[in-house]
Formats: sequence, structure tokens, C-alpha cells
Amino acid sequence: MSESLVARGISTPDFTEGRGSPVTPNTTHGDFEEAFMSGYVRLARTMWLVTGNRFEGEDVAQEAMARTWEQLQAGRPIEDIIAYAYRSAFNLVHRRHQRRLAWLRRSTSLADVSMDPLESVAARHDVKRALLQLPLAQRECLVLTEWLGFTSEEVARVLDVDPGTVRTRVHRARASLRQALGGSDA
Amino acid sequence: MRKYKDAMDEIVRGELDITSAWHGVQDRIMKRQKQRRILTVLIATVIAGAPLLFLMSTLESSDPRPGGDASSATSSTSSLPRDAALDVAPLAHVGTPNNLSAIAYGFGSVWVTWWDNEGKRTSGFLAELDPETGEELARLEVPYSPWEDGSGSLAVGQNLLWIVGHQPGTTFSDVVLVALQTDPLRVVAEVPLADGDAGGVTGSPDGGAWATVVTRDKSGTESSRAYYVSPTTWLVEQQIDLGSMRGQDLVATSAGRLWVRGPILENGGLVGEVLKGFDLASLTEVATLPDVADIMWDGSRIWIRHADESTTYLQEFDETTGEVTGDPLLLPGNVQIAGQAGSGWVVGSKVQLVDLANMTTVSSAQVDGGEAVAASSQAVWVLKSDSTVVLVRVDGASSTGSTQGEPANQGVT
Repeated sequence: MSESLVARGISTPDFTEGRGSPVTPNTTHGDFEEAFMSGYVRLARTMWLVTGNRFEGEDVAQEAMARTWEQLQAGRPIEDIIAYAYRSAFNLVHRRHQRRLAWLRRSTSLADVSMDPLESVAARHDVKRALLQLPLAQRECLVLTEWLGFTSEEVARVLDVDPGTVRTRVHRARASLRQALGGSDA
Repeated sequence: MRKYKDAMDEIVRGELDITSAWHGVQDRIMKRQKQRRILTVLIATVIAGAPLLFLMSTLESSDPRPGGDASSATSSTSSLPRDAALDVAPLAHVGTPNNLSAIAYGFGSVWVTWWDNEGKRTSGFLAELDPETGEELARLEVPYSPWEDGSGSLAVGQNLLWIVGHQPGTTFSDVVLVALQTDPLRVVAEVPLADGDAGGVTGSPDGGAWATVVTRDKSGTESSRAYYVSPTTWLVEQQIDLGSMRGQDLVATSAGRLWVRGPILENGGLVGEVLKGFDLASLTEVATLPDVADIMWDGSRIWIRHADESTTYLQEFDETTGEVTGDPLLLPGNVQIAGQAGSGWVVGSKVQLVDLANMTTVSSAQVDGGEAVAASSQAVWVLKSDSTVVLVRVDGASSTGSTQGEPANQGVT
């Protein structure tokens, strides 16, 4: 979270399952390691849910942590290491998503082919599939709200959007999931 | 809405290794620092040497080239000397004897897969070897091991390594295609394909991969399918029904064709071995060639090893006509083939280096067979059942040759 948010008295979302990440004017390597140890697993699992792929989730989380460290080394004042890593991770996911969309647009001949893409093996993972079929923006809001338990305001700060937008996306995501899962909630 | 959280918990319930992740982050930081240092040096060098480079390029462009410019050279021109001698030397011992799966060359390294029982658990393994010294540069436990009897179960793709395999220690279970990045070596995706037996895998020109799975219906009748996995969505995006052919060796070309070779089994018996071609835009079969015992992709062209009851020979295959072309080269009976950039390697009791441009044997040496082979233009690595990797290379040449890791792999046969 930026310093201005803290100054305005807005609470920082808990990314670290209650342990908190260090906030010091001169963050050291030890601070970074402590923040990593307290927040990485949750970050990786969040990105796993958002990307739908365990390895990509871990890749994004590690890349985000590396970039966060580089920003610290470059002298950038970072109030909350893990919060910054979340922002960085979501930015990475967005960029990769855009590249994928561009690739899919170039490959319409592949995408148009009629097929059963997942066959019987992955059909067991209905919830995962329904989650992955949500637009990325809705999926992010749903994961942050439902899985991390953030408020709309906290999600809005992580994703840099309006809280009303978050509520709309979560509402639509839930409706889509209900429809995809045959009317049940999960 | 608690149910959504529970469902999400279920999706991400696997253990995450925080120590590996910490090392992963450290590696990324150090790697980028190194890249920045190199870039700084390069920029400084370019700035300092720009006037000299300009002078050299001017002189070079005014120098007449005998026989036309370099762009007129074709891929069929061989760089092999006529009297090349071959060096044969054991390079390394890797993996577990008799449990070896496949060997491949790519990204400047040699890759070997095997499976083993560690404690009560059966695991698959992948090792990276230095192609010149045999030093083991990296080793990774792979969640799904290549099928121990399969061929071509390890492939070098455009940017990734691909392994098609099972849960270690099982057969006819979930077949999974595993994508691995090489630097640092790690799994980047596991894509479930189908329940059955894993076949072969090959990289696709767009960075994805094609892999085959043999399935069995309730009556025991086998059928096979090829699955395309996208490198961006990590989903199966295309499927091709291969019928009763067990797809073992695959080549996907930039011409939009997939070539699959394998035996045809009917009522449990071997009917023949064929090569089939499929057009990837329409997913239709475009060619079938009988009596094909092996295929080889040298980076630009397909070569087949024809074998019937009377003869075995190597010949180029024209993927546009679906027919063999050019002169055949007679081969000994029980051999494996691998190739790269105009060089072909035939490995049996002897290893034979073939100039593919002229279809002539340049040199040969004794190796006493092997389980699997991988090739560059200047060398071949032979994996033996006792876990020895033997390097055979053109005398005095770098084993990595002039190419940088085009797909050239062959599994255990």
C-alpha cells in the first residue's frame, strides 16, 4: 500500500495471515526475507487461483517478489513489502493475459476447432473450470474477496479500481459460478 | 458464500515448498543483476568500438564473395568434411541402469530421463548434462515419469522441454504432459491428457507441443489420439484421432503438418508400422506411408527409416507430396537414427555419420549399440542400458555443432 493510503487512515489488508510484513524506512535483506516467509505461500496460492495453474501461480509470485526486492534495492520507499508484491503480481498476470488474448486472436483457426478440450480427467474439477471461465477481472475480485476475505475497499486498493467496480465484478462472478455449477453455490 | 472459499481451498490444497521458492527468487535477482552487468559492458563496448565496427562492415560489404552471397546457400549444404574421423568416449554415468527412458539434446545441454524407486515411492527424474564434459548441471524430480517403454517421450521444444508420462510406477493411468523451463530447471505446467498409455511428444513451431495417448475401451480395443497443448493457455486445444495406430514418434512442422509414426495393432497383433500426416488447419489425414520404422527431423526436413522384410534404408521424405524423395542409403537392420542440420547419425553396433546432402556415409566407428540417441550436427550422444552416456563426435569439432538445440530426440525403443 502506498504511504498516502496509510496517512489517510485506510487499513492495510492482511496479506500475511496475521503476522504482518515489516514496515521500516530502510528495509534490509532480513526484512525482505521475513516478509517473504510470512507472505509468499498465500501470495502463490492466490496467484494459483487467479491463473488456474499452480506453476504459473508460483512463477508469478516469485517474479513479483524478485521485482519487489529490486525496487527496494533501487531505493523506492515501499510501505508494505507483501502488498507491493501483490500489486506487482497482478500487473504481471494482466500483462500475460493480454499476450495470451493477442495470441488467441492470431490463432483463431485453432480456437475455432470444435473439440472437448479437457476430456474426462479435468472434468472432475468443475469448480476450477467454472472459475477459470470467468473473465480475469471478475476472477481476481472473487479470489481476493472470497478466498482472502478482503473487503471491497481493500480489493479496490490492490487492483487500483473503484470499490463499486469490485462489488459489481464479484456479484457477476458469483452469478456466473451459480449458473455454471447448475444453480448451486459451489 | 463459505462454499466458494472451501472450493478454492480444495483447488490450492497442495503443499508449496517455500525454501525452493526462496531460492527461486534469489536466482531471479542474481540472474537479472548479471544480465544488467553484461548489458552495461556490451553498451560500453559498442560505444567504444562503433567507429571500428563501421569500418569493418564497410570493408566486408565491398569484398566480392566467390559463388554468390551467403543467402544463396541452402539448408542441404553439408558442413561435414569428407574425411571426418569420429572420436568415441564414455562421457558420463547418469540415472538408474535399466530404468532409463530417453535422451535429447537442446538448449546447449544433453537431457536424460529415467525412473527409480526411492523408498516406497517411484519417481521420474530429469538430468541436465554438459554436452562436452558430461558434468551433471542440474537434476529434477519430475512429478510424472516418461513411460519406460515409450519412445520419444522427451522432446526439446521452442522454449521448453516436454515430457509425456504417467504417475510414476503406473501404466494405463492419467497421462500428463509436463512442460519444463530449463534455466532454472523447473516444471512450469502439468496438463492432463487422458487415461491410457503415454506415447510420444514433440515440440510445435508455435512453442506448444503435441503428445499421443493410447486408450482402451471396455472390450480392450486400443485407439490412439494426438493432443495439442497450447503454451499460453496450458489447455488441450486440438485433438486428432489416430485410430488403431500407436503414435510413438511425432514431428510438427512449420508447414502446418503433424507427422506421426507408430505400429498399427489389431486384435493384439502387429499389422504394420506406418507414418501418417495430418493437416492441422483441417485436422484431416493427408498422407500415409507404410513400412516406416523410424523418423528423424534434422531441423528442416524429415527423413524416414524404411524397413520391410528384405531391406532397411534411410531416405528423405517430402511432406508436401507425402512421398519419399532422393537417393536411399542402405542401412544395417537394427539401428536408430537421429539428425541435425544436414548430419544424420545411424546408431547400431556401429555409429555411422551420414552427410544428408549427398546421402553418403562420411565416417563410422564402433559403439556396440545403445538404448537411445540424441544428436547435434557434429556429435551424437548414445545412452546405454548401464546408464553410460557415450559421446561420439567429429574429430576436433565442438560437440554442440553449429545449431542451438533444435529438436533432436529419440527415446528408448
